[in-house]
Amino acid sequence: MIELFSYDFMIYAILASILASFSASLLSNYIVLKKMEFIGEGAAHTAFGGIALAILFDLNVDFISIITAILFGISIYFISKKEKVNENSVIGMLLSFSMALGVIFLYLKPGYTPELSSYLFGDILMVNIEDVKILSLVALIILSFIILFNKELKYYAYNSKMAKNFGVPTNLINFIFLIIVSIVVVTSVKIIGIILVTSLLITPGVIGKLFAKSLNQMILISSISGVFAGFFGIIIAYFINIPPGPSIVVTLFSIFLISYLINYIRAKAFVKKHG
Amino acid sequence: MREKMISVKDLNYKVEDNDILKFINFDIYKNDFVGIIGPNGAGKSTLIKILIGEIENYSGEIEINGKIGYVPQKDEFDKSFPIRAFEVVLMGMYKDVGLFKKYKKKHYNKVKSTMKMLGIDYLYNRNVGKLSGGEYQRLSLARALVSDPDILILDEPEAGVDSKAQIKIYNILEELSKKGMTIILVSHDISMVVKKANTVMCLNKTLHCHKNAVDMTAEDLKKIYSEELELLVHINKPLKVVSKND
Repeated sequence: MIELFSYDFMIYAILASILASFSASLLSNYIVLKKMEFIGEGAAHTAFGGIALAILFDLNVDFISIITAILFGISIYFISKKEKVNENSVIGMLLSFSMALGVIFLYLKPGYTPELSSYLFGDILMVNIEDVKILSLVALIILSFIILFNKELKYYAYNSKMAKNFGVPTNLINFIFLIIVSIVVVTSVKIIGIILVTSLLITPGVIGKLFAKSLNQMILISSISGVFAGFFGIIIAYFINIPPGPSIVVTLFSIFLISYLINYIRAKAFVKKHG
Repeated sequence: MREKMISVKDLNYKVEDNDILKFINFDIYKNDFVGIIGPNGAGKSTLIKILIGEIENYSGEIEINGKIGYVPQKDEFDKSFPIRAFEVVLMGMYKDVGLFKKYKKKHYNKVKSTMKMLGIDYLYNRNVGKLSGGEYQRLSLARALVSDPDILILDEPEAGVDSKAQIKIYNILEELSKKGMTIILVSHDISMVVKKANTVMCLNKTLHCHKNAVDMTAEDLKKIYSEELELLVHINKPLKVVSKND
């Protein structure tokens, strides 16, 4: 076990996994409460188009995918402002459009594209010190966003329309939130993968909601669950030699199952005690 | 001369060539308790949304003198949302605090005293998902009142609430009116509106009447409800109106 920490790549992978899980877990609370689970899926699949474009033209993958994700967030914000077009419809359309573009780009790329499966399911070896720095910055930005806009985010998630009536700048919060989700997805892709990053944007929030009496409690519980899964998921992936994404997701889902069971037993015991 | 709180002139509102509101004109004065009645689709909630600023693309002139407190028809929220009653009421004072600042002790004290006034102080720390319809409605009223509004606007506060809770809400409104608050109440409960409000507006796309509650006649109601309702007892007494379907 100790030998793990003697490899630089492993330390980077563990740090990246913890940071990505932490950032995604923080956002998962609002995604779950606002019932916008589709957003992570959309951002991740849209990033695929950006990654494929970068591979085709030998451009910087990180830069292009971040730009694609930001464009995705902006597009959802502006298109869904029109009452006739639902936010989920926009996400669904952009998701498949970007995936389609991604497949076209990869078909146009001559020769073998070894990076692709790494982007789909994550790869410990892809992470470097630069990624850790970017993920640290993203985690710091999200934590600051949640602390600074604590009450606004709470009311935005609780009842956005009503919050707007009481003067909460919900449009601004929504805009920043969409961009931040897109950035978290893109920066987490190397360690978790496009296909599985959605799990980190949903499951920690669901676990937190099972036990929390307040939103701050929910944030704390979801963050602990996410970081725990991020750490042990990567260790398990190393020892049994599998991609980190699936390992993190399975660990996280196991935490959810245990939490659900505990919650179920508690509820039963409560009913028995109080009739 | 009484202070004019709301003045509406030639208000028109259309959605894709459909008239939702046509040539609405009225004034509301300080301490008025106005009941707005009308059938489904008459534009009552739309008028309220225009007054509170939720709808902006109307034509006409609206002048509002004073702060508005608003109680919506229904608050759409997830019953398992981890938020407590006092946090919902604090939302009513958001404008006083604004971005990047925290609520202060005076805000929490205001929430406590308002909830106490409405008889729901025992709910302070309770999760909102555990409140009954009547309790939640009074919580919404507390949220509207914490900002010390000059005008209180309520959109069908009786919706989804049992009759006991309805009476409680109407009694609270009567008390607030006695204390000098201007109240605008949209309701389907015609008999209660006529009983509690001092002025009644009959709305069905346009205003068909705007008069003292005691002067309301069956004819006024027939103009807006026509085929839908049968009038049983009226004239200078609480009007008892029942639907033909009842």
